[in-house]
Amino acid sequence: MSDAPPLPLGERWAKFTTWLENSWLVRYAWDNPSAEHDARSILSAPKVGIWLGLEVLAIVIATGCMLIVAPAEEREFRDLLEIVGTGGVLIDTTFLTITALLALIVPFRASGLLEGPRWRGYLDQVITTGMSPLRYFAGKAASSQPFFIAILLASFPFVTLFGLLGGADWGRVFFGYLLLYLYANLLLAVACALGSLLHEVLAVLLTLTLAILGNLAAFMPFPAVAATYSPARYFMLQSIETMSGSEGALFRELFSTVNLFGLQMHWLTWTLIVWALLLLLCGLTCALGPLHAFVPGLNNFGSLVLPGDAKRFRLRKFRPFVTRRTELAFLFDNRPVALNRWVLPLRAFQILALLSLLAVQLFASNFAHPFLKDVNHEAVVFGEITLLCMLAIMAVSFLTSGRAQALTRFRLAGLSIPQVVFDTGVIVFFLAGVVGLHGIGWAYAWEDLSQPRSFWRSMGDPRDLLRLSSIALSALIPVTISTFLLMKLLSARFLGKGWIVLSACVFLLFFAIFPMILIPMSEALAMSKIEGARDWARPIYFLALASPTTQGMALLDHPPRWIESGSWLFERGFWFWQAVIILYLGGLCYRAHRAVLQTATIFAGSIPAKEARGEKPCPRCRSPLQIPTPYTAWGGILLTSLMKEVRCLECGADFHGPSGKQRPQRAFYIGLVRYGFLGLALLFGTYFLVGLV
Amino acid sequence: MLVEVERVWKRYDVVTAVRNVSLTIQRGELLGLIGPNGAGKTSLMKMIATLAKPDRGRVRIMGRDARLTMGPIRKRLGYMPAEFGKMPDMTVVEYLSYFGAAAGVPRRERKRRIEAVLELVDLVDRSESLVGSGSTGIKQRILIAKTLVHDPELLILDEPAAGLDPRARIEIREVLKELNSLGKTIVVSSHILADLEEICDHVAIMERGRLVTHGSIAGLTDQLRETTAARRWRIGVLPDALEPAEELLATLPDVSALGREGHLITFETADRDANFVLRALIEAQVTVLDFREEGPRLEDVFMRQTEGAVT
Repeated sequence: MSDAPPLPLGERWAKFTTWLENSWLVRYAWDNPSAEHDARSILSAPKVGIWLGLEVLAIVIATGCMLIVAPAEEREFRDLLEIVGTGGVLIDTTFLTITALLALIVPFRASGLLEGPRWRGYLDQVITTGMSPLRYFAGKAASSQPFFIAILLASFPFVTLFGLLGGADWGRVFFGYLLLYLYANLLLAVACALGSLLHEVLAVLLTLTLAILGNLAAFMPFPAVAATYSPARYFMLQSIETMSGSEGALFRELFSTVNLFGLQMHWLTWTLIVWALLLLLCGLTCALGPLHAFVPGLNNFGSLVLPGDAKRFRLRKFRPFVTRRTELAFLFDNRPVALNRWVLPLRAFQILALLSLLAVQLFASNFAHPFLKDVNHEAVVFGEITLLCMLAIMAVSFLTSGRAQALTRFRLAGLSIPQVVFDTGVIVFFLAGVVGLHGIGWAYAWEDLSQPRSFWRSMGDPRDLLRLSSIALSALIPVTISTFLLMKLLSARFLGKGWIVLSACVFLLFFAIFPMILIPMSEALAMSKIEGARDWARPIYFLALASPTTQGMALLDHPPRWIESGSWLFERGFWFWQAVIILYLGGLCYRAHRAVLQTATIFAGSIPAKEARGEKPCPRCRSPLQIPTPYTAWGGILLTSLMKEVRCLECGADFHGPSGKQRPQRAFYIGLVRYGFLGLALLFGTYFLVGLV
Repeated sequence: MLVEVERVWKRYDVVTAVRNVSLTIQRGELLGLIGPNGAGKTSLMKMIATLAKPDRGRVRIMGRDARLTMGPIRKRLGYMPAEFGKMPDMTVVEYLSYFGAAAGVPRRERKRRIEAVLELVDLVDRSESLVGSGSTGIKQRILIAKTLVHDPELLILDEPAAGLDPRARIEIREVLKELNSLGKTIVVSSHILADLEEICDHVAIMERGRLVTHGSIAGLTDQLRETTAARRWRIGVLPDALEPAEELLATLPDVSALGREGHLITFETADRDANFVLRALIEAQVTVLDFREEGPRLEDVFMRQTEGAVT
């Protein structure tokens, strides 16, 4: 044994603080500018006191109502107070109040981290310090911890007091605090991650909305597998467990048991898994930032100029958003070098993990026992179609982005991969996953559906359910792919978000206007007394089948009576048209993205301007920079290429490459002939195809 | 070699700000970047500071490609922009601590470094005042302190003397000299050629986005001297000997552009050392107090190399 006298307390403390200061975690998160700034400007501000005061007031009001008002009004509450004990009920009420309060406060805590330095004009100074973005966010997280602890501690006297009234389970109380603390961090992580992808103001509003929806879902009779975005359900479980009768059993199963395609687990376990995954995904977003590569014009901090920008004044209003993304891209350049090579697989993992989580939750909810037992035939199919549509929209919106991203290429395993290829791979992989989930869901639900219950027998054969939902899925997949291609095509041409409006117009045309015009036209032709006109009724109807709406109507009610044919063309014509549309859009998409990448290559100087090869400069701005025009409205893909049309990279004008002249008259006549020919070909092609079958 | 700029281009819309610039900066060098407004100095500095990516070409800093390894490069450079946004509501110490923390300087080390840089820029007395409250000179010194707080190897200072009064300019100049003597590599841009001539060992002159010339100041002036036919000399004599001396010089062959600047006589001659002038004055018993060649200055080099045009 050592004879050395024990160190005095002061020295021990100094030694401990030195060790703490030198520890990696403290240096990473606490010894950090965002933590310092927060600690100085926010944590010391009087508004923290106001928040705590508000919390105390909310607890007093909520528990007061529970204690005084509720028992007088509701018999169930009086029973609950008797069974659980007053203390237990009041503690749960306190926790629910804190949950609501955290959902309201925490999103605001995350704001200002990126926008503050941007607005004040010193983000470039932060960037040139080489600070990694994850560390920047970690500072915010670190300085938020005392705030969260203060919020939780402020309620502790109340919890202790209520515990003395009896009925308190202190282990559960401790776990409740732990859950609330995790929830606060989850909200912060979501707000920070959204803030790095979107604008911070938008991120705060979105987090707030998601938190409110999450809490509403926890209170409503949502299956436990989906209601995992709030700890509120944990504080309700005690009350639900006291419910008696068949209703109580159903609620217990619905609220507390997660049925994951046959795998049973407690709600809390599943919730913690979901939160861990979300925290991981948010952490990845804070480390990787928005998917952005530096492309010509978007490679300068503080000012952005795009090719042909001087003439594209209408797009200037979108510049603040592009500027923000580019400026943040400089910050996210500071991520560890080793991480760079993993960016693309990690991004794919992020998108797929999030979509898969939502898909699993939605499918498992749809096929969860208590839920399925009490819904009718159509609702199952309707539920699946709705959730598939939601997932498809999310997948398409995640994977389509503006022109800046269309210019992007990534390096992976020695290959230079355009982003469009990456996005296509991810969406195809995702759709394959959806098909797999559909199979798993139905395999799991089959046993339940095929029970000889009078309920199901009266509503029809379960095989019809499977057939209908499989058809819905197989209709949705080509629509998703063609929507994805359409949005990719439009985003390759437009800088801002104008392409979203255009996509919506195309959707409106296909889903509503197309069937609204063609189906009555087909019926009118069928009823016509003019000789020969009746022969056109079926081809026109076949054209209308390009719309999913017409196909849906055909599936529900079979082809209309005037068609008088059981041919596959009239039963499943939609898939024929979708195949044509996907092939056409795929070709256009390929051409558009090739043109975008050619632009980038010319600006990067990898290939010389065409002037060097004897081509004429632009007739409008005299610029020698040009690429073959990928597509024109008058010439489509093929004629545009045959006519040697080129596009100026400075002003965007299309002109005849060899002569260097614009020929609008020639374009008009070619367009007239082309559209006339195409229209006739479409009509007669359809006519003969219908005649053949 | 600390910085290597290879055939770099930078383009903004229809304006090409930097055209095919190649430049190397050695460790410990103090390089002055000069040029008229719009010459591309700031764009070049931003590319070296990794705040702009070249459209073409490559920038290598400390042997690393600036496109691929941003974090490690940025940790070792200090960038002071020409324009600074709204100063945050912090005291000078808090402000320096903020950026020190961002650069990863440990807390204890940071305190020591902040004290050292405040002393270097002579701001110890103002350490607790708000950063936005001082004069332009004070703010520039705070910015220099911020740039130095993480002890970077490479300093990039864009117009550090802009908007400063003569006293503050001299102080900043002294600070830069001291930093260079401490072994820092500095790239500084300025319009004030006299300042740069005094502190820089190398200069790079830009015009219309092109690098017109680059080299040591001594080398560039020597080069100019070599290419100039007539050299300018200055003679100091006693006041009563001014007129006789002038008359004598006017009679000498190969002496032209005779003039007077106060008590000094100036003239030009194509002769390499102008000994024949000195000999003539001594033979005429004129007391010569000063006799020196008035060599070309950085201003002359700049005027010779540039046409005064901007992009």
